[in-house]
Amino acid sequence: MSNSRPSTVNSQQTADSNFQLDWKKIASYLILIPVTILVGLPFLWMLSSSVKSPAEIFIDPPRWIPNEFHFENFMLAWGKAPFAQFFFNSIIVTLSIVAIQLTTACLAAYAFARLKFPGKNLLFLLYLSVMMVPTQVTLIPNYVTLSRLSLLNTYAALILPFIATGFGTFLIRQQFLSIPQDLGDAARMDGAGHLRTLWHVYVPLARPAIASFGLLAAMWHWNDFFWPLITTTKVEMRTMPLGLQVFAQQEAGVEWHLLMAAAIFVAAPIIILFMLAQRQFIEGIASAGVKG
Amino acid sequence: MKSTFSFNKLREPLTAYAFLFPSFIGLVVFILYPLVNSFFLSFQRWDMLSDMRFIGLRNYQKLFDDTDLHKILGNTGVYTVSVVMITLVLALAIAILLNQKLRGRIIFRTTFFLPVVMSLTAVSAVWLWIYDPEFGLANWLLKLAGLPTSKWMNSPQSAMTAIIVMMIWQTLGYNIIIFLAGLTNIRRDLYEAASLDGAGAWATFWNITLPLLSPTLVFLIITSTIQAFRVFDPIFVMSGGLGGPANSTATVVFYLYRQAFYNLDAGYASAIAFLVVAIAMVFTVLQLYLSRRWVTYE
Repeated sequence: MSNSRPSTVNSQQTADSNFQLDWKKIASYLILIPVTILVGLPFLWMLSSSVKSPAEIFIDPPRWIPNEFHFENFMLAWGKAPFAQFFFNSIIVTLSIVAIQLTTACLAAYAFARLKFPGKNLLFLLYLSVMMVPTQVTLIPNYVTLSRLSLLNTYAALILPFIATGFGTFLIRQQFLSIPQDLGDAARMDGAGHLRTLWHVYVPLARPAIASFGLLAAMWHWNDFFWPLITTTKVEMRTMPLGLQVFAQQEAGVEWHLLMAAAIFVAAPIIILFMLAQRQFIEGIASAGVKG
Repeated sequence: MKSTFSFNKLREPLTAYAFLFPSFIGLVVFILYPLVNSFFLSFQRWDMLSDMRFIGLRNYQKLFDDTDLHKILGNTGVYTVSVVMITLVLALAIAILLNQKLRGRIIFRTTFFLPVVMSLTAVSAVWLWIYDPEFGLANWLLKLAGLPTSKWMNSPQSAMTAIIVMMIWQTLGYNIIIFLAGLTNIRRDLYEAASLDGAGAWATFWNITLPLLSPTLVFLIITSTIQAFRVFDPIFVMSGGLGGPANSTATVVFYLYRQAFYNLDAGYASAIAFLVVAIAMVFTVLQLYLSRRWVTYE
């Protein structure tokens, strides 16, 4: 209705609201800046503590910029527990899961998006519904299965339960459906099989969704604490988060500066990944919604 | 001739099944079979080593008799309601402020979002130090504001509050991102129309923003509630695997873990798992109901 008002009134109103808008913006900054600083403080606290000397850690009130920067804290913390081994384990496990999930999800997504076969709807429903099964329910039987296969304390135990992903399949299928069918048909006319069509036509065109999902999967599995806690008892099989937890509880004691340094190198890889690919991360998160 | 024909007809379904095979095996072995098996286990007494014994509904009976569990369900409820509600209100306010052209918007957004991508174990380690009663950041801030200090994780009265504050900080950014996605979907001209009609900011919020954001709101309430109800990592790490002073920070999934791997009572742990599922299902049904009653679509 308002669109039909005379333009003179409109411009008057716009000028008015522009003036108001500035006040609104100033008020917004006055709220947002302190809130953002408050939310950022734990990070600054972590960074500042990680380069302090043991003596400077225990000063009240705290000194935000230390007198001396002890960057060797990172080396000290890294050496106090086998973090090199934990880091290697986390890399192996995370990369394997992401690679396997992307493969199985792309294959399944192509079948659901582009192939005709009996039982398609029923199977798709199955893939969707497993997304809603919480890990707590599958926990004990999976532990027992892996234990019976003598796989506890192996990479297999950390990787195998995650070879399939309902969520990833769904996300990539949606993207595949948006690709014009003609493109795939053209490739098939040229004699390409389904596997070649998937690899040369669909995967390159669905790169945004695949990248978003890959980043989210990397984050979830790098950060996973629960599953490594249950399936590993040997020190040399721990992943970074589990290694950090044991370090906090046993090795670090009250050496907060070393614990902060260790927390930084546990969190850093994903934070760096996030900084490099913020848009894909946020789009993935926004489209993901449900996870757990 | 005939065989080639039928082969071609079979070719597409066979390709599809071959493509589905790896993920299907994964789903059956590590999700479907465990789901069924877990249900079966919930009627047994079993220490995961010796033979199991069928005990009927006794594990489910125990859910009603176990006073520890009831206390822990109360903890979990307090944790869930506090984290979800406070985070939602804060995130909505911040998202509305961020949903305009501002300088440094990217800095605000990144700061809020960083805790979301950070490992919960690392988050917990940092906050353990923040909560140090003598030299920690939290008490320093309280002193600056002229407020009384707290013992945080060291006292049963404050330990859960400490974890709640930390998790609000950690989940805030996720809620802001989802709200921002919802806000950008609201048509600009609705706001212009409202401002032409002389509606103030408060009236605009109640009459336009909130109703049109209701699908996002319901979605976030339900998914965050289910997620929060299953909290485990920070509970475990913050208490060194013990559940806090006097079980004050133990939650239901933490209790499930203890029953399975400390008390070696796989049957009872499975019954608790199905209790968690049942509660999640109640919330999902509630979501369907609420989205039919409340949600306004344009």
